[in-house]
Amino acid sequence: MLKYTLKRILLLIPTIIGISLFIFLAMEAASGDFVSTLITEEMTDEEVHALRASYGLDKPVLERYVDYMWNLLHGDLGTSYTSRMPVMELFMQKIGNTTMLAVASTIVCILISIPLGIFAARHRGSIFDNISNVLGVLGLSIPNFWLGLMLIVWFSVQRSWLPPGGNDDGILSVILPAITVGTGHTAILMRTTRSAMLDTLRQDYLRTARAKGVSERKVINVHALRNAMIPILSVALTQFAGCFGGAALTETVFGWPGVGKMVVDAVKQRDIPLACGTLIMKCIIISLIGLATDLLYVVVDPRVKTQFASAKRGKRNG
Amino acid sequence: MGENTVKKKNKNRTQGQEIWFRLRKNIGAMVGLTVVILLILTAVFADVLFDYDTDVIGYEISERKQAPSAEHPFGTDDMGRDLFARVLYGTRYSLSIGAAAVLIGILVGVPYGAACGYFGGKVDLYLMRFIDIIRAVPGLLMGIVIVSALGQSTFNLILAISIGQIVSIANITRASVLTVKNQEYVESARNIGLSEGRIILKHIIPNCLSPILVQVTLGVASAIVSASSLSFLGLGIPVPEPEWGALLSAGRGFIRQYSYMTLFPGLAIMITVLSLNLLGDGLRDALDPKLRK
Repeated sequence: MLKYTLKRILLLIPTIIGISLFIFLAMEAASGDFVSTLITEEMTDEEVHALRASYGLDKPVLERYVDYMWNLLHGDLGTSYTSRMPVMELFMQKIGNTTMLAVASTIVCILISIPLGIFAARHRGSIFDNISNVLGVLGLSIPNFWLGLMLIVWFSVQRSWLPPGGNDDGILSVILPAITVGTGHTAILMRTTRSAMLDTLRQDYLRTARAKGVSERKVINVHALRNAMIPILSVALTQFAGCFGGAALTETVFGWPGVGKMVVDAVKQRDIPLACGTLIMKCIIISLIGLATDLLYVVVDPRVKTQFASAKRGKRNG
Repeated sequence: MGENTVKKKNKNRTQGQEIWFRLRKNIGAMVGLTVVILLILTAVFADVLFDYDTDVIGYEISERKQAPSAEHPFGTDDMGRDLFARVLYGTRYSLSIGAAAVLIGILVGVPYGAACGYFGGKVDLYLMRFIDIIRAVPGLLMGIVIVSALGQSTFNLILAISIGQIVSIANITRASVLTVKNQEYVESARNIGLSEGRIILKHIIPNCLSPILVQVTLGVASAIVSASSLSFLGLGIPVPEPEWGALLSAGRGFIRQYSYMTLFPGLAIMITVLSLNLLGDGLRDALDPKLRK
């Protein structure tokens, strides 16, 4: 297990090198660097050059990249060009908001999709199953930035029940963004739950459990659900991790001050250290959640642990 | 193709007829297919329906910001342009951008994934590690970075969203090549001395087509959403072209008083994506050999 964990963490290294190189090269190719947005007409060439040098932008891209990686090895993510603040500090300011949105949308998603998925699987082929299938495809097909806009129209503009954006109203302000992010996820998780439950419901041990006189409720909620849990958990946690990477549009639509919006703005402003540092942090978080998912399997399904053990034995023998 | 299939019994159908027969029984897929055909027709005949210069980009200030009416079914925008004409004309942009991105995805992703799956070992390891790195960057952000780097144009937009398509098509091709390559007929082809290239092209890829076809259908849907997301952020097609995401982005400024400006372009995206998803799901079921009787 420990070896596996270490291996997973080591695999982050090529990813981090690749991502940062990609950002540096892409930003180099972009027309105009960060300093070009600061230049005014009155400035002399020397002043422009000095300004560029003050950001270290006078050096060639590869030299800057090597410097950046060297600092990264010392735990320094660099300083943002735009706000002149350490990237780590900026990231820490925003990550709380993104986490809140990710948690809220995952809760919305799980509360809706798992009961619906179980119900659909138990009543396969019924009207309810068909309706939930159609709703599932519909939920998958709504572009979520548009859903966000429509929610703002319905609940903020026409009815003023909920704030249209920002995060000043505590729990109220997270509701619409969470629904926006959660809708597509709910659709996917509902389908996953349905098919995982369909596979499990066919198993013989459920018949045995029923024959022993276990209540139907317990058969479904304990015996069946626990065995269907692996794919459900895997999808739910992948989606949770995805919230850290992919909620940028929702954050932009709602003006939600999270890391997604921050990195989009950073790229637009050519703020290389901020974009790069935020992306690296996101990758680390996503990969740690992935690792936690794998380790959680062992808790949910003891069979996985035996697989690890037997793989080890096999290696030793072979 | 379809008329005879209903009367004949299962045994006499060719593979294509069999798939069509099963697809026809799926109501969702048929609705999806119909809408997709209508959308393609709209895209092809957009300039017969509307004159680009006067109806689509020509503005009339006296008619601006009108709510939906008989004359302007979707209302007019802040420049007095008829949104019905713009949304319908936008079909041409959104569909062709989606299709072009997926085409690039096929041209690059299929050989890439096939090489990974067929050669395995070190080749697979390194090629897939590269894909993993690309996947570590969220798709939207990848698009933003690429469009920022290459400049804002329709071609660069297509290029930016094709990256995601390449990744998913390469993955699905790799997975299906892995299952096909150990089949006995591939073994026989190798034994009679066919070249590797010929084996991949003639014997492996044709047997991997079903999952790729499904992925392509769903891929067009996701490419359309990606394209409109980038346009929505102001990084897509330059104004005044009536791409759906750009229409949404323009309407967003007037969301308080004139919410219809954002309603219709979004509905257009949703209907298109929904139809493609229904068709893709139907195809997946129809092409699944496990369901064949």
